[in-house]
Amino acid sequence: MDKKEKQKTKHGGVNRREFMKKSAMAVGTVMTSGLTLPAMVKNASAAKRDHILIGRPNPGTGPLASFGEGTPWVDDRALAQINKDGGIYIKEFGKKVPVKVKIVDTESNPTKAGEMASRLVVKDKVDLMVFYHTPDTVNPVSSMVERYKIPGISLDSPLEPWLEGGPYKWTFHAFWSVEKDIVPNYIGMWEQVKTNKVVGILMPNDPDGVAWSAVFKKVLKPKGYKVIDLGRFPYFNKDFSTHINRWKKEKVEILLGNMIPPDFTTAWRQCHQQGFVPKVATIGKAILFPSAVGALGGDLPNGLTTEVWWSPHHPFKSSLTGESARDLCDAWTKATSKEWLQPLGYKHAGYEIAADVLRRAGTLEKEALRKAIADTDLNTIVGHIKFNQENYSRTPLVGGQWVKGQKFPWDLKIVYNKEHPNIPMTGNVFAIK
Amino acid sequence: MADRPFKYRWWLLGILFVVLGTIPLWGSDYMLLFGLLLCLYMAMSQMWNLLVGYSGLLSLGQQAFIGFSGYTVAVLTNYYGVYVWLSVLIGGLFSVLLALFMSLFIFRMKGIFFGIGTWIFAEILLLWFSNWEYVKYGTGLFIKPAPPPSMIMIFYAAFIMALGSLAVVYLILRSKIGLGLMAMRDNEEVSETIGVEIFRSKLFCFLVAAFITGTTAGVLYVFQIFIQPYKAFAIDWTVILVFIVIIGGIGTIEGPIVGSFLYVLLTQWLADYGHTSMLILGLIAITIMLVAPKGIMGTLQEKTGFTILSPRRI
Repeated sequence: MDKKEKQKTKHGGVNRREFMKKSAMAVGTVMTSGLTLPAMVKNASAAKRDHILIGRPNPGTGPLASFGEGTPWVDDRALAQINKDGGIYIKEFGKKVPVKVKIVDTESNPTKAGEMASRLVVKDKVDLMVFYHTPDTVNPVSSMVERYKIPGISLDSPLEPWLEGGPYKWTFHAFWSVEKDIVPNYIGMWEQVKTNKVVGILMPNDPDGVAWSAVFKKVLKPKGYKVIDLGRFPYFNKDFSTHINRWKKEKVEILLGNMIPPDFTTAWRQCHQQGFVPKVATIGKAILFPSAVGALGGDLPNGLTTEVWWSPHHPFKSSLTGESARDLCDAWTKATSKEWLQPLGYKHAGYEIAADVLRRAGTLEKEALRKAIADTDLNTIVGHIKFNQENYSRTPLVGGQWVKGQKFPWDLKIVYNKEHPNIPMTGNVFAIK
Repeated sequence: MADRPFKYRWWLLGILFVVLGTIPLWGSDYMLLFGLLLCLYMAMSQMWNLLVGYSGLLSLGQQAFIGFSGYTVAVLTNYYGVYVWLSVLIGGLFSVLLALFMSLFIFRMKGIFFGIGTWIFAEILLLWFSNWEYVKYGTGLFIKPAPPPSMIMIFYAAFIMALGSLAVVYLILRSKIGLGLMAMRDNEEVSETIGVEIFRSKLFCFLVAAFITGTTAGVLYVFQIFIQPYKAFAIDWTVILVFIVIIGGIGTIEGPIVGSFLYVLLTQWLADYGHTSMLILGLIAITIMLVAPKGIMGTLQEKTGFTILSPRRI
């Protein structure tokens, strides 16, 4: 009977008492959410702020997490230096104000990165956006920077995919190009080893794999190379024996790849197991970071070559702290007991540019800041930054080879510097076998 | 007597939508962003709820429509200069065509097999788009309509989708088809013997859901600007929709509204906690599933009989 009554209420009418009770509940809920909601959703106290705020979307989790690893160590350190004497003079405040940074996680996801960038603009009211690390972070954030018309400084992502989103007015970018920098670098390293010029391509079906293989196939043939390409392989492929057998048959002596670390680990181990050891193996992305190189195991990393965008050997100094690339790497190793990473320099350089821009502008007015970025002419820890008409600045790229290290298991030696002779070589390319 | 509950339900809902719809007048830019995300998730989760909660079509491939429509908008606005909102609409229609094509294969499957079938289609599209030169492979495309629509326009487009999805679900469920759907969900064989046209009803819902999900995704990508196949066709989208609908209450019309609100609120709030946000989101989902297995609105309905929009007509 009870159940019947309940059923009746559920389906049909509600009597007055119940209606009152429920509406009271509903009003109560709305009111409580009224208490909490504004606290979460309201504007950050932009009106009475006593600092400069920089937004920093960062891939802290997900497949790009190794790029984001130096955060917040680099950020905290750079800010401490900028704010040492009270910060930067801003005329709206009539005094020096400290610079603060808001770091948000993009989860290595471009959709999330776009959402987070919007949030930084409309909720936190950031004065400047500084962002780095691969197209998945840089492209969506650049788009939001353009939409909301706020000044943005972007680094560490190949130029070509970034330029697709142009022309840019508010975003300025600094890094190298695949076609103009990677190609001469890789080929330059190969030419130092005597080979039969037969190249085996091992690239996955992802943006870099597709783009890089297309560029290389286009340029290698005219230079007298024979290219063996069995097509793009899917992520986490477990069996590379088809590739390896073909390479053996075609007598491949140069292996060219660009992939995520786990795939290279599988492929390189199988190459050794099945008796295929090329004279040269030049791999992008997978062996940028010491942790990934160490994971190959045994002597497998010895002699692998890759691109180097920044290292302790780069002869550049920070405009912020005066420290050299070497000093920054040493400080990192001291603080974390870890080997240096290429993104450290770029992370630091972002703050150098930001501080320089804010100092020169002396205001938080958006258009003035934008102009100040456009006029940047600064020697940073990653090299000279001067943006061109298309809002980008190319940074130097050299070639590196992994060899057995002293302090850490594996060291990255600079073995090719033809385009940038000011970055000293620390070794010579040798054949793997 | 029967009028009163009817009235207060509509009042509550009316106030909700008036508050939401007038955000550009009174709210901050951040409220506008919040409202925009809320509307987008509301529309898409409402459609997933229609499929799973009412029609028994366990779709794990909503991302197929999201990515397909997003790419349609990108290609039309970039390569052909089509007016942005027209291309969003065409994106929705293309999703319907895709759904029709998919139905040729997957409507022969049931339950989890249907789910896997939809998912496979999304994966096929991912592979296709990431290997297609026309859409620049996996590099992705920027959606750059001229002139660029303002945030307020994008918000209203999303608002229309949210309101529209709610109206569509309500109307479908109150119609003869809706009655048939629920009969079908509860017992397919029996409903067929009493004359429910199973195939046609299911297909109808599938196509409607494809249209609204696709159109909403078009609006989403107009907001996002940048589209890239690996995330556009990722299962992540369906995971988010499952989270929203399960938390809010599956098989209730209010569920997706409450779920979307909580999801957007939580993700915005947890954004300040960086790496731990995913853990917290997971914990909340598990807690709600244990404490209120029917979701917030589902449990509330069961305990108190409180409904705002009932599909029942008795």
